Parts: sequence; C-alpha cells; structure tokens
Amino acid sequence: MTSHRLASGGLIDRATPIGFSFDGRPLTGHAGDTLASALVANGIRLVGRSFKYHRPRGIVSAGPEEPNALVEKGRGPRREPNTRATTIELHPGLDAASQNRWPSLAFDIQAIAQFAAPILGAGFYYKTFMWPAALWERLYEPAIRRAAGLGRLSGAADPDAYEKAHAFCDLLVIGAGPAGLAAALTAGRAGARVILVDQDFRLGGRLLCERVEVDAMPGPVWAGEVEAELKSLSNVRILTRTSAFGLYDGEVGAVERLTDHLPVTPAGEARQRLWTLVPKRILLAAGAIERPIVFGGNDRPGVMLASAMRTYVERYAALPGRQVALFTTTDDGWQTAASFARAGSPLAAIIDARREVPEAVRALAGDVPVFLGARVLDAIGGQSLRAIDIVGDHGRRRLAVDGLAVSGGFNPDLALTTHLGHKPVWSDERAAFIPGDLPANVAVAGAAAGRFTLAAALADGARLGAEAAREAGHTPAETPAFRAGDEPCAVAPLFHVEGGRGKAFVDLQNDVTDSDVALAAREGFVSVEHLKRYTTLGMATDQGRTSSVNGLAILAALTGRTIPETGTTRARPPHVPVAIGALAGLHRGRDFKPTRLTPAHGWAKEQGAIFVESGPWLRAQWFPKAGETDWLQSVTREVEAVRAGVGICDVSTLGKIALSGPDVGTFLDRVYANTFSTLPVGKVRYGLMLREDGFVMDDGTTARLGPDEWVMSTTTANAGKVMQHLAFCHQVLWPELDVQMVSVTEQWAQFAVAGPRSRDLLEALFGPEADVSDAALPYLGCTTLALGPTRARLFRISFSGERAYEIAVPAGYGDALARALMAAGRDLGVTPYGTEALAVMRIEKGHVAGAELNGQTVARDLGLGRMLSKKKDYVGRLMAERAALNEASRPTLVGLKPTVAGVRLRSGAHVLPLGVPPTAEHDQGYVTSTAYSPTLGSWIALALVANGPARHGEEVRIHDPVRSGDVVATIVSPVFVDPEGARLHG
Amino acid sequence: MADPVSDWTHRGGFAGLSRRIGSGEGLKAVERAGLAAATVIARRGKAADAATALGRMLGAPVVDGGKRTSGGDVTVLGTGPGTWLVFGDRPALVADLTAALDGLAAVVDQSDANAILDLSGPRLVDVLEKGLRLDLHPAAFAADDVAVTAIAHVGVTLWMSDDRATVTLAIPRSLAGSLLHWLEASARPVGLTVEAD
Repeated sequence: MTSHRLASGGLIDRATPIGFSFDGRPLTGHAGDTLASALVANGIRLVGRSFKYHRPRGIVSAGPEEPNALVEKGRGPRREPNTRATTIELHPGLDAASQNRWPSLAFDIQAIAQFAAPILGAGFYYKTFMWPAALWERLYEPAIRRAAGLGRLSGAADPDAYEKAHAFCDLLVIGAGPAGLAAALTAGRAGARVILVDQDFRLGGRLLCERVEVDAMPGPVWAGEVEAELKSLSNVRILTRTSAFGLYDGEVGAVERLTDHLPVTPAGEARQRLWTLVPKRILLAAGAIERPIVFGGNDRPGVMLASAMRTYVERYAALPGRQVALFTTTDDGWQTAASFARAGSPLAAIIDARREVPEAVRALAGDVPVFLGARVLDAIGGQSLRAIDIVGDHGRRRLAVDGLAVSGGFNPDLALTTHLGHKPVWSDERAAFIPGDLPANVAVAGAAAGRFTLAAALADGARLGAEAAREAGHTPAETPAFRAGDEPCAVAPLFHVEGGRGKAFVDLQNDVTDSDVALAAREGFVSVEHLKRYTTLGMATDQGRTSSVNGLAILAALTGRTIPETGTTRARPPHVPVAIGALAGLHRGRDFKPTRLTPAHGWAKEQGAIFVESGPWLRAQWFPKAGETDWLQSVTREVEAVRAGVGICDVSTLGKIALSGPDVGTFLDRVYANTFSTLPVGKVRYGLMLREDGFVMDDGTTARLGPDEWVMSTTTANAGKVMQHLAFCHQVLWPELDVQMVSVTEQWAQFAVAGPRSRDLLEALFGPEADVSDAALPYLGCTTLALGPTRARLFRISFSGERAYEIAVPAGYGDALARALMAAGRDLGVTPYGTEALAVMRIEKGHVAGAELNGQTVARDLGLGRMLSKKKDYVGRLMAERAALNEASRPTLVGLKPTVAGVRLRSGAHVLPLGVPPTAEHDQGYVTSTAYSPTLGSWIALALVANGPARHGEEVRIHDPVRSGDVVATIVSPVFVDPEGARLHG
Repeated sequence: MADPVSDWTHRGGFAGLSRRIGSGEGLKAVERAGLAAATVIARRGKAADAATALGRMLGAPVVDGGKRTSGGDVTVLGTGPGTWLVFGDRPALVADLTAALDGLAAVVDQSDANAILDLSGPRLVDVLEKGLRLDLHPAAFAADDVAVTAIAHVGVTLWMSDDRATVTLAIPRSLAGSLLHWLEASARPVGLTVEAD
C-alpha cells in the first residue's frame, strides 16, 4: 500500500494495481485513479515549477481547473506538454514528467527568479526590454521564452489519427453530476433523444466525491443505477471522457478522448474525436468550481481547494496530508472536515473567516480546534507546507500543518453560456456569478446555476429534463422526485487576506500576485479586460477558472467599485485546450483538401508523369523519359514533338458547363463581352467574360453542338467561380430568361490532340468512315462522332497555335481514350505532354492564361480590346469603359526577348527603362509568364508594360531584385510563333 | 485504319479501388457502376409539368422537392428547385427522358459524372456520422428524403432505401479516391468491404 492511501473506501479498483512513472520514478496506483490522485496517494507534493518565478508547486484541484499540476505526458512524438495531472486517467506505463525546471524538480536553478520578484512585476518585460527595439525579436524574446514557459512540444509530427463526428438530439446535457443525470434520465425515459457528455471517465460528478445519499442509495451507487438505465435506452447516447468546449450558433463543439487512457493507441483507431453536437435544447449542468482565497504563500505545495481534498479522500481514498487545517468562509468547507474525520485523520484546525457558523455545520467537524472570525495570513514552507500563520480574535498564532484546505466559495462553470455574448450576473446572496441572460435554447441546472445543494440540483435536472422532452413532443410520465438532503451551503465572501508577508497569488498558473493587480490598477488598467492583458491573469490552460473572480474582486476593492460594476472578462471558446489535430481531423498533409483525379490519371501514372496541383486537380506536368535529367529537357522534348508531329494532353480539368433553353443566346451575350447568339450549330467561339467592375474574369470557349445543346468551357482554376457567376446572373439578374445549365465537368474526359500530324492521328482513331477533313471540320468547328461503343465530341480549337483538336468522351471511357490515342498515334510518334509544355506553347503563341488573367487586367491590357462588343450590353461593359481603364499608359501585353541568348527571364521581375535607377517611380510593368522556347532557342516572356504595343523593338531593363536578376530585353510582339496563323489552319 | 483499340473498357469512378479493411464486417460499400444518369432541369415555369411528366414515366408521383421517387428501373431524386437527378438501369435513359420531357425540361447526360456507392451493414449509421452533418433519424430524415450535402469536403447526393438499410452516395467521380480516404479511416475500427466496378 502506498504511503498516503487509505486502507479502505474510494472508487478505485484495489485489485488492479497500475505501474506508472513520474519524473522517471516508478510508482504504483490503481485503476480508477487519476495521475493526480495517484501522486497524492504516493505522498508526492511537489509536481511542478511555476511559470515565471519557478516556485515549487503542488496539486491544487481535482479537476480540469487545475492551474499548477501541468505535466508532460508521454515520450517521443507523443509527448504532450501542459497536460493537467488532475484529468489524466492513470494507465499502465503512463510516463509523466514535471515541467519548467532544470536540472531537476527539487533543485531548479531558475528558482532564483523569485528573489528578483520585486522587479519582475506585471509588464516588467515590456518596460525593461523596450530598447533597443531591434533586440526584442532576436535576443530578449527568445531568452524570456526559455526562462518563462511551460512544457516542451515534441517537435515531431503528431503520429496519432483524429476524426470528426456529428450527432443530433432533442436535449444535450453537459455534465453528468446529479443535475445532469436527473435531466438525462427524465428526458430519456420520456423518449426524447438525449446526449449526455462528461469530461470524466465515470458518470456522477460530485456524487463520486461526497458522502451523500440519493433515494437512500450512496451517491456513486445511485449514479451507477442511473447510468445502467440510461445505457438501456436506445434514445440516449452517453459520451464520457468528452469535454464540451464551445457553444456556437446552434451547435456545441466537444472533444472525446478515445484512447488517451490506453497504454497504446490500437492500430487504426483515432486518438480523439471532434464532435459537432446539434441539439434542440442544451442543459448546462457543469457544476461549480471552488474558489481559493488569496493570502501570503497560498501557492505552497500542500495548499489545496477544500472540495479537492475531499475528492481525494472520498473518491480516491488518498490522504493529501496528515496534519491538515481548513481555511474556509463557506459551510461546504466543513464537509471536508467531516471527510477527514471519517478517514481517521481529523483536521488539525478549522479557521473560518465568519464569526458565526450554524451548529449543524460545526457538528460536521467533530472535535477539532476551531478559530472563528479568523484568517490565514501566511502559508509557510518551501517545497512543502510546514505551517500557517493565522490571525483573528484570538490574536496571531502559528500552527504546524502539512496541508491546508481552502474554501472561498464556488464559481458556477458558466463559460459555455457566454460564448455567444451573453453575460452572467453577480449574486451577492450566493457570492457568485450566476446565469443572467441566456442563449435561446440553453438552460442551466444545479450548481452551475448557483443552486448549490444536492436536492436543488436533482430537482433542477428533473424539471428541465422534463421540459426539454415536452418541447420535443414527448410526454414524461411524471417528473421524478429524487430524494436527497438540502445540505447547508452558506457563503460569506472573502477573496483576499491582506497583510501577509509572503507573495499572495491570484493566478497560480500565470504567477500573478495581488500586488500585480494593484500595480495594474495604479497604472490605469482598471478594466478587467485590460487587467487580464496587462497581467496575463486568467489566461492559458485553466482559463482563469480559479483566479478570475478573485482578480476582479481585488480590482473592485482597489478601485472602490462593486463586483458588478467591475464586470467580468468575456469567455471565448475553446473552454478547454483542444488539440489542433482534433480540429483538423483527417484533413492534414496531402489530405488537407480532397484531390480530384482525371479519368485517365492511372494511364498518366503508368507513363511516369510528374503531377502538379492545379486547383483541386492533379495534372500531369511532364512525362520524363529514361535518360532525361531535368524537367526542362523533358518539356523541351514534348514541345518539339508537338510542333513537329503530334502530342496529346489531358484537358479534362477544364470546366465544362452544359447550357440549354430558348434564351441561351441572349444569356451568353450578356455574360460574355463578345457576341454568342449568332453562333451557328457546329461552331466554337472563343469568349471573354468580365466581372461587374469591368476587369477580365475568365476566358474560354463555348461550342454549339446542336440547336439546343451548348457547352461552355472555362479555365481549370475558374471552373467553380464561373459556374457560380452564371447561376448568380441567371437567378438574380435575369430570372426571366429561360435557360438551364449544369456542370458537366465530371461527365467528360477530354484530350487535346495538337500538332501538324493531329488530323492524321484522328483519322487513325476514328477510322475511314469518319470525316475529319478541313472541309468537314475547319478551325473552330465542332461535331460528334461515333467512337468505339460511345460517341465522342470533337472540337477544333488550339491553345498551342498548332493545328489542334479537343476530343471528349464520357468519363468512363477516359482511360480507354488515352490508350486509344497512343495506339492510333504510335506510327506518328505521338507524345503525351503535360501542363508545362502546354504553358510553353501558349506563351510562344502569346495566349493569356492565369498569370495574365490575374484580376487586375482589362481586355485592352491583354490585347483583347477588339472582343468587346459595341452592339450589345453585357456584364462589365460600363465599368470597362472608364477612362482610366483605357489609357495607353496602362500596362499592356507584350513579349520580351533577352538581348543576349541563353539569359533567363523570371516571372515577377520589373520592367524599367534603360539608364534609370531601379526605383518604384521608374517602374513600367512586370513580367507575367516566362518559358524557354525551344522554337526560338531562347528564354521568352510575356509582360504587362506601360504603352506596350507602341514600344515593340525598344530595349528595357528586366530587374529582379529578389533573385538578383538584371538583364536587358527587347519588347516584341507577344506572338512569338506563327503570327499569321498558318499552322493553325493547316 | 480500323479502330486500333478493341478494348474500350468502361470504368466506374471507383474502378480498381476494391478493398477489405479489418474484419470487413461493419460496413459494406458496393459501387453501382453502369447506371445511366441525367440532370433534368425544368424550363422556366414548367417545374410542375416536368414533375408530372417524370411521374408518368415512373408510374409514381414525382414532386418538385428533395424527395426520391422510384419506379421500375428508374430513380428520380429532387436535388433543387425544378431540378432532378435521374438514375436508371437502362441505356436509353437519356433518350427516354428527352422524349418524355420535350418542351418541359433540359435533359443533360450525366451517366459518367457520378461515382455511386451503396452503403449497408450493421455499423452504417456509426460510420456515416463521422462525415455526414445530417440527422438520419427517422424523425428527421424520411426514407424518401434526398440530401445534397458534403462529406469530408466532397459534394454528395444522398438517399436511402425504403427499409433504410442502404444509404446511397453519389459523388463527383474525380473525388472517388478522396471519399474512400474518409470512408476507410472512418470504418477501419468496425471493418469495411469495398466492392468496386
């Protein structure tokens, strides 16, 4: 038996010992322990060093509010810093280590900081390290971070998996204490769909930690019976080890710890699950958190919340001290005295700040020295509490103790009710913030509502559970009346004992003292929100659960205001720390977003393609052949093959939109800058689409395959945006037009077939019956032809400047089409080419693409001004006519060729006149696209240059300060290859 | 030259992605390949007439709303105002629809646009809730309801069988692999069998 474990009692499984280690020291606990309770049972007091002063710290609480006992849990990539020992379920092999100490917990060199404490007050760093500012980032901040900090991240990728889930219910009950259990049971019995969440691994809440009876059963037994009944109801879902962390519009976020309590995560299982819970009603039954009292040395290991001491004794059968005193201002504190008496270790003394305590309450303590109207002035000790100095009507005296239970009242855990902007109100009667204005579908029960007795909690739960069931259309048989006592729960508020010699901590986690609050008030930080930012009070993992109210009460006293006048800080989600991995779920790394694969992706992979992300798609970028050592070699080969023979390129990713209806012509005339209503059947037209502000949105083609069969193609990048735009135009601007449209991007696999031998390839593919002659299918013609078991769409369009076609088949035949094209073109030396070769050829041909359609260019800038129809109205027309968008000085599309062959041009470089300093005032434009042109044997570029078209032949400076490029180039026509279009028409 | 390729194999979106994970027992996913499909969009003001015409074709009333109607080998899914996604186990589906809806609706062939999975098995609901942000409880989702939603950022059209035992997902075929990534991760602890085309 470990040193501080009681011989009997508690809810631990004494038959199941569990070995674990703390700071490398092997220890034993039991199933049902937390790390904190196992440490208490082993008599371990010192568990960490504080954030700023490196003061020795012990366990303060028994729940998620713990400010001190933060540990690093696990090793290697699974090391998790800042984990609260009070919420870690003990499991075999648990390996925990204290934080923020060096070289060891007991001897920490930086503890010297506490002797410098007089100068390390609030704002010290900001005031001291202000000058010189340049040193802040490089010197001061890293140094401070090393000294002041908590746990260490592993620095390795998180090896665990996470998942998300969604659930819906009539009633979500947050907290499975007496109120929550009563509510879930009442609503569940009535047939309502109930979800009950609790952060603990066992249902019952305070019922597990108190010596109380419900319906004549001990609390844990009653909780067990309710749990069994709830589990038998198919309409009730219980989520244990689950923390509700945020209230959002209509939804609650919660994180379920699925495997954190297991020695090893089972293969394939997620470590944590992020729940989105969508309830019709929410019942918050999260209980209340005990408030410490601020006095000198109140951070000494051994000073603990009174309710937490009781939890260790009653639930875990672990004795937090053998000579324990109680400092209380509440009736509830005396219950701790009763617990210790029952455990055979009566308290050493009770110090109650109140002068009058009811006889019934006094009877709880038994025969213990009691000091009424007294206060603890100082707690004395180093790494463990040794004594307390008390002051009161009896004068001053020192008591030798090894533990001090502190009870300053209870703070209802209301954070979730404030996430949507609602504020709690202060109740003088209960000395606590209680629910004020609540979100529409939220109710609060039991201690969370400031109704602190067991009977009130059960009654609240039953009533509100029944109400929720009725609202969901169910009829509760009758509201059960659970029998329990109304234990005394009076409080006389006491937040702060002045006059102690030791440092009095308001916020243990952030090392904020009463004098820091006073300093902040003196310096004018009298708003609680300013106090929080200036002193860091209430920040970090515990979110001020034990510190905020004391801090604002002290601030109120200092500034002569009441607590309601001083107000509270606003709580924001998440209420508890949530691993980023849980928020990401499956969507990390390559799976951050879904990936779209073309129907012939497998074929491209077989061909050895290198893929590139293009919007949501993966596209073949180039197809390296054996012996090729860099991408330029492969791309050059592909370009040369297309320009000399024939190549094929998967263009399935282009957006495709089917349009139908009597008004398609009118509709297209309005969304395109050029005219489409005149497009005959069997023809394709290049189209330019503007935004409402007159700038170019997208370019593409629309083909008319039949009288009522139109198909628009968009760029890959803008496919979604164009569809959205068309839907908006139709639904909002011109609902009177009879047009139907739908995306068919997924329906069709499409390949470009380009090069002087492309028609030969098509003849081989389609066979002699099909007529693909120039007479039947001239440039910008389109048709459909039988192909194998299906029909193909054939468009004669070109991006490369060569004779070219695009052939589309139903996507299920996409892979077969790729193979058929390769087979049909074998004798022609058909070459698959990727997006890089595609880009090289379009740059050689002077076609604009994404880099030029960058949202800052108008049609005129791109040399497409003649496409703007003067005969009709269309989206963007008026705004495109603005004078400033039509000035010759606007950067306009040109080609660039370096004066020295072999010199590389780079996108993003600036264009400047020769002979001027490279400054912004001389800037005349920028390079948008560059390529090595195999056809010209030189690097070439497209650029947007002021007065561009008038400057062909002029030499300019291409300045690239980021990559140290500085070359001279000649402005030329953007069409480098075949300006007459002879190749295009064959 | 004659058709140089004899093998014009038609491939479903999940082709080659069959797999068995763990026990394979918790969830079964079977690809329904080879169904013909079309988007039907009513001409302006003709939604009711188009619904009636679809109903006549199915021999069961079709409404303009998010409902499924099955008749013979054809299933009509309401996916938007005056818009339906129609699946049929007949090659002439698009032609039949075009004839039946002449002047009433646009009919666009989508036979190859979707990858379709029938999901069933003892852990169907448990797996679906890991991706689906919809309440499939009978009180919230009728057996003939249709949802256009998303799972793991993949657009999904979802419907179920009359006995609620099979939930069908139709997704853009290019995203089949991404959907399977979610399905595999979500069903791994309970076991998954994928039977693809």
